[in-house]
Amino acid sequence: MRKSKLGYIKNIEKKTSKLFSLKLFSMMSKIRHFELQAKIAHKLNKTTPLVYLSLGQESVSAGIFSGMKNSYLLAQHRGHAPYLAFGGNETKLVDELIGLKSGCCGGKGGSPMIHDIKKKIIGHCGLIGDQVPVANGISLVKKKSKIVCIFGDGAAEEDFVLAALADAASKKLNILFICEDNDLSVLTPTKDRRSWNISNLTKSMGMQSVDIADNPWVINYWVEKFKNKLPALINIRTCRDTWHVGSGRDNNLEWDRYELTKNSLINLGMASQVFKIEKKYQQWSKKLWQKRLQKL
Amino acid sequence: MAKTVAETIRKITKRHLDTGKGFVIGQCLTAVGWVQNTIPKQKKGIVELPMTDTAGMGTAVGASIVGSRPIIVLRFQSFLWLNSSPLVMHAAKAKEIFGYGAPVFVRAIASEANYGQGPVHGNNYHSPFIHMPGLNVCAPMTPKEYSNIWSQYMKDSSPYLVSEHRSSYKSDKEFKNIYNRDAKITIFAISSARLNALKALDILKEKKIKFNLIHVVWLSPFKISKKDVEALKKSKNGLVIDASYTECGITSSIAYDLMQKTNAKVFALGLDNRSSGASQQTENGTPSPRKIANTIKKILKN
Repeated sequence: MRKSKLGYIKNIEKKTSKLFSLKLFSMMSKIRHFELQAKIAHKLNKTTPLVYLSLGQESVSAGIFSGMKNSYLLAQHRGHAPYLAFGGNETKLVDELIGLKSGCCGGKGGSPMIHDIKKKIIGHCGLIGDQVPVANGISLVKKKSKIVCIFGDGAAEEDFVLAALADAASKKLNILFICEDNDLSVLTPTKDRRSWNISNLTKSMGMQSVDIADNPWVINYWVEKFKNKLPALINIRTCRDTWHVGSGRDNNLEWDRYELTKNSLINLGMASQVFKIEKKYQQWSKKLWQKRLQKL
Repeated sequence: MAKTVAETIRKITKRHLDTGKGFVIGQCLTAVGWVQNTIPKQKKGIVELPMTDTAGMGTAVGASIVGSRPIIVLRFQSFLWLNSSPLVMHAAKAKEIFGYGAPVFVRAIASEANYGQGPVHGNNYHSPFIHMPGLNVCAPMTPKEYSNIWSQYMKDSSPYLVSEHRSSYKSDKEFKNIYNRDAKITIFAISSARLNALKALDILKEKKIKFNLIHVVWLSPFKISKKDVEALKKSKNGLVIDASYTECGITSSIAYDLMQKTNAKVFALGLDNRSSGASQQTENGTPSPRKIANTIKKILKN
């Protein structure tokens, strides 16, 4: 069962510089407002049908990117958030989602296959977990580069993902594995699928690993701790806002990390900066989407 | 002295590893005869995989995306079933969807369905892979054919599935197409079926049946010369032979293409539509010379 305080480090927000905390929130806000516009566009049938939104999971990419700049990034079908966090071209992302030739995959891949090779963001084939062994191959060649490889708790069960994790541990590859764990594979809870925990499993393979909730400060703490001792895996418990695919929503979620983070910053006396950041990304996102939708 | 196919592969691989342009990756490469002596006996550039097939192919594909030219060795072609996903879903699509290539070189080694290998490791499984665009599929049987494929691969950014056959490894022979002005049938033979087709020719000669024989190396894209098309048109009958199943297989596919091009009647001959067995009486291997000859006689009789 997911818990919002799993692995919480007491007072970590207070111990972090204001500047860095605002940087974390900035990225979360950018992703949130981009995805809110994507959600609207999807509801209006302006996007390709299969859209995998990162709403509710913004803190994962925000917590990773600052510690892993210039790394190769391999995410899977739910890749908008990491793509944006690692500097992927935003215009090309919108264009891809609305099926234009100017999209990052020429309008052919849609939401699950996005990439930006100039920013070392590798495309995904659409099948969950495919990117994990691919990350191993990249690491074998680019020995000096760090690699971030993100997958979900469902993909963690794929036989070839487990084999690739074990091989990365054996070969001591320079990869930070992130499991975005929302406790669901589409709608099937983890407890109905398996009895084991990916963090414990990777520890048994000889890899450093931790199981935490999606607090961006805590994520960043572990990224900094692990990044020079790779391979490592961080299992991050999240609450995704929308359906597995599309823009629908079923129930109220246990928590909304975006709102929790925002409130923490307000409580730390950063209200004016927080609202300024939100306004900035609200306007940016609306303008970006409106401009590109005119191309349809 | 001419080099065998195995020696050619080993030489090409050694040069590739020594120049640092790529590596060889696979399971059990450095043991049990170094994959029928096709792998150079050295440590440099050889990456042993654990017994993980799908992940192994994914690893090779990943390496190919970032500038390396990995050779992945599947010691038995039946392993293609396990390895197919990263190859067809990622590597084959990469150029078209992402705009960058994934030039992985897959050595998939077929063997005859005898010696008890029938139900597990026997015969060719290259047919399903011609189904996917973006993947080059070929079946070389001679040293020169192998060298030419390698040269082409090194200039290309697409993935290659090279359907090798163990029966070619010890051979140093090159084969030329056979054309007969009065041919009644044109045979298109693939992989190990090429060797059996050559043997069948003796039986046909005895029966005074004149034929053309075309050695097919490229399965996808299927390559055929104008001369071959003309030969088929003139003979009016064709037969495509391979050690794979004909249902939705390469033989049926090529037969269909050839019929579209020529209006000739082209038939497909492959494995019987049943699993191969381990025992001699249940094996289901490359169509034998006798079976090929009998099929041709039957086609011409009708």
